[in-house]
Amino acid sequence: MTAIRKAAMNAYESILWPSMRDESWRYTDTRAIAATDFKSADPSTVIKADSLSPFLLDSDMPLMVFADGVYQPDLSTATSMPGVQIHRLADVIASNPERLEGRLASHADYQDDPACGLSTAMITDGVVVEIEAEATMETPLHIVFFNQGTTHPISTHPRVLIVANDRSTGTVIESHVGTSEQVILSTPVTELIAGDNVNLDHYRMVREGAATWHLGDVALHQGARTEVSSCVLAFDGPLIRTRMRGTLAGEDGNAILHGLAMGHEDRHIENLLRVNHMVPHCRSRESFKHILEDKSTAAFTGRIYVAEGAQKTDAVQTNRNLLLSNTSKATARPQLEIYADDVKCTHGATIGELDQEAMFYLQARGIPADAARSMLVQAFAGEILDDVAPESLRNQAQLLLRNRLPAAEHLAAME
Amino acid sequence: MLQITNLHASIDDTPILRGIDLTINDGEVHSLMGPNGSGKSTLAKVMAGDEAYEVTEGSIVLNGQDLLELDPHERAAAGLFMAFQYPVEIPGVTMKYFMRTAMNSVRKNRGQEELDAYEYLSVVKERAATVKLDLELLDRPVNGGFSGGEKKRAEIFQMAMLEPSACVLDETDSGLDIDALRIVAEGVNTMRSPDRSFLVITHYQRLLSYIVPDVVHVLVDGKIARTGGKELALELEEHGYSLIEKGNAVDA
Repeated sequence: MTAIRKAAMNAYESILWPSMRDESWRYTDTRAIAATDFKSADPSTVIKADSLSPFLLDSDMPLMVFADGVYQPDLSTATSMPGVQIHRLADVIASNPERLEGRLASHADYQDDPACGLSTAMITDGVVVEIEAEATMETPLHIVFFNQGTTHPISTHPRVLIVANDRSTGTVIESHVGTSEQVILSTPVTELIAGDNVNLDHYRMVREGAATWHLGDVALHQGARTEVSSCVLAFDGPLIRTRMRGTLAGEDGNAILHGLAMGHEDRHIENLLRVNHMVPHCRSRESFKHILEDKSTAAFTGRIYVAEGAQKTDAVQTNRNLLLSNTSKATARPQLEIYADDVKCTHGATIGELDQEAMFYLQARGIPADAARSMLVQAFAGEILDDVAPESLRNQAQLLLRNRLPAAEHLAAME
Repeated sequence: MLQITNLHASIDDTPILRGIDLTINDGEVHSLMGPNGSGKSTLAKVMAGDEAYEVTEGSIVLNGQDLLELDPHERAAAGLFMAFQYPVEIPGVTMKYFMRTAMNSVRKNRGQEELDAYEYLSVVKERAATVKLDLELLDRPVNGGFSGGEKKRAEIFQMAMLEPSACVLDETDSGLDIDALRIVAEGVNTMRSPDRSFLVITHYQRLLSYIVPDVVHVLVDGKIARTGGKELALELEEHGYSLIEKGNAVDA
């Protein structure tokens, strides 16, 4: 553990916060972050159940709750269940650090990214989930990282490690939330390691406070005949940057990586995606959608990497940007890096406005312009939200979207 | 009553409609025929409020309300319905959600109560039956992957749902085989009533064998060049538009 922290700190100190001349940081300005003196959160931080309730999902979903990175035992209901071990990362570090070897910080690359470097150097607590071979998680685990901050800027480094052994099934949902206007830097890193014949679904909902910079990582590593999905839903926060890395290391694997982000005011969203096809006969589907209002901006960089010998790779990557104002801006950089000759890889990126013909058609049927616009935005987001399997999470996301749109009262109830 | 007076409209400064006068009394069915490019579809779109066209002169009054003063959705609430020649596909919005939102908006605007789920469903079933519309289509995206016939039947279904007082059918017959044409026509005929008027826009006479008009107008070069009874359609079928076009040229 000490060695990892040290290596990560060295990495962080050698990169620090890069300028926008750095290729990976061309679209995200970190000057304000670099200029801020962050402190760690007070270890006695507590939050009230009331503050948490707007962000909860099903009442029967087991919960792990952290406030500014500090574990909240009174609000956490999750306990290990048959076949599924759920622990605080701090406990595992203290009592069984060998269980983390070759797992923790093994897939989220901290060498070339300051946020991941800092996060890894500062590892203290978080959640470790291990689903045993053949086991099935009956209900999704919900991990809530609530950020409230204090009078001086703080940084928090939420960490999640999910290990799904062969032939296991499970779903984990993270919520990164807050309502405070205090300055906070959050650098959540989640690693998902799936063996063979696994079915693992991961969701990350981001609803940060007005001054919380969110620079996150999701790294997946999957074995043969395994399907892993990860979906990042970014609704609130002045800066939401997510690096998502998927590695298909076993044949006949399937990776589904989705993202939906909604920007307004002067918010900035960045998604950096990389999918590594290391072996033959794998499939990956990447779909990222950005809805931009006001002066918000979004940047997408997506790379499909196909290693030598990874024949019959089937990868489809799309990035669609819907600009709802003249002052919003989107950038898309789809990239392919292919070293095999028998593969099917496609990528597509679009930046556009609402379809005017569709707008007129809806209006001609009696629907006011603002409601018509809202319906088309819902439809745009629907392609991502319809695939969100946990119903309570899907409903929450649909409601967030709907409440952000004008003329919600004109829209018929969703059926 | 629908009254169009001296209507001029242009697109990108090119005049398309050059002074149309047309009055349709309640309960009447008028047909608007004419060669390609005469402005038939432009008239339909201008009536519905398509912003691509600029009205430079004239008025369109429906039951005392000047439609040109209204936004497209207010025109629908005021009782106008335009069946599109090319119904637009809208991925991600189901027919059901679309129709329910449209119906609620229109009813609200007309000062009527919203229908509850049960009432709504029974109206859907009844109106879908008049155009033999498969109810499963309602779970699909708006016009998404519909056949040509399904799209046009869905237009007439929407018309039946929104209970307009003036219906404009823009080349509803285009792309339909004879069976589909007959179903669409039957759907329209069941909607004929003393307080509802129709403007049936078509290039060909064949639709008018099924939806028999009271009055036939021929549009040439953005103006109504001739008006007559239903026999005018048959005459045009036999001789083509060239006769009238020539006549018009002589008049000019």
